[in-house]
Amino acid sequence: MAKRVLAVDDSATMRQLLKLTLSRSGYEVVEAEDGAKALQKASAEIFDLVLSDINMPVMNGIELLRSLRKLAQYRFTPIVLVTTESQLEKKQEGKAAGATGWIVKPFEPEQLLAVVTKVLR
Amino acid sequence: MELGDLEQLQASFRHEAADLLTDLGGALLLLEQEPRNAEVVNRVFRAMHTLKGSGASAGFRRLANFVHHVEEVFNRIRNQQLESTPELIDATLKACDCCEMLLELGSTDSDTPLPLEAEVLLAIRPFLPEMDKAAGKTQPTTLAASGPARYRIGFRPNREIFFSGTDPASLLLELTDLGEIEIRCDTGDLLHADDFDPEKCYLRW
Repeated sequence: MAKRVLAVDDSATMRQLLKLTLSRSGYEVVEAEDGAKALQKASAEIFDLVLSDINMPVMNGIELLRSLRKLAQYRFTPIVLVTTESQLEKKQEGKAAGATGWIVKPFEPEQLLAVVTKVLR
Repeated sequence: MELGDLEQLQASFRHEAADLLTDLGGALLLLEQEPRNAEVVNRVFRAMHTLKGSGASAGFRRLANFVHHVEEVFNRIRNQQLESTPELIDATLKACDCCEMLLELGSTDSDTPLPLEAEVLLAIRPFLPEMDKAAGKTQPTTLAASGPARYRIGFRPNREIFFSGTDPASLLLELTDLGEIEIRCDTGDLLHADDFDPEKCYLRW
């Protein structure tokens, strides 16, 4: 059964990039455009991995992360934050909130796949 | 990435960028009337942030590098390190026009700035003094060649590490990619744990 990934980003381009890259490698990708919609979907169905941007309207990535870690089914699920270089200071905040890791954008498709393979191992 | 996928992604980004720039125009005019409106400042910052991140990811590096400076100015405004001024609003409106030009140029690697690009960067330079410092930074020195370095690493993860979805074994496995390694596990805390909890980590390396 294909691993299920929840890709959360307010940018349609980024969601498309994540979906294109991961679905070509056999992952099933579900999209959400902000943290609140992501939390709704994650509560209704199970995902093996969550990839989330940080800066989003309604609910940002750190808030989503904290909310997911409160759910029993997501206590140990890999949750990877997608950041830009200027947000490296957010790493500490993400770490404290329970992030498994992060990817810095822009990234090559191979880098994304390497991180995803590693956290799902 | 396959060429077809890249073209699809770039078309998607052009469409998204057009919407963002339209929204930005409205937000900036509102900010001119309400310079301390935190919600509008955040809206401008997020739009610039998306133009930068998604633009870079879709291959519009020149656009991303340009927007980065404007994004940083608005990051400082939302952190209350700077205040919005009419001059800054004017420069940012010009930055939006410049973004449209850079979108037309596409994924070019040319370094020659457009006149409007140079004008905008000059206008925001007073708000980002490090732009001048970066222009004058020295070349990195070359380290003298030496033998392989050896490191002794002590790793004592937080007991609640599993709750972040992190597996210490994976981290140790990653180290093996960096070179020759010898790993020793200390089980001392485990042997002395009176209230053993299987969801907590008692090991160190």
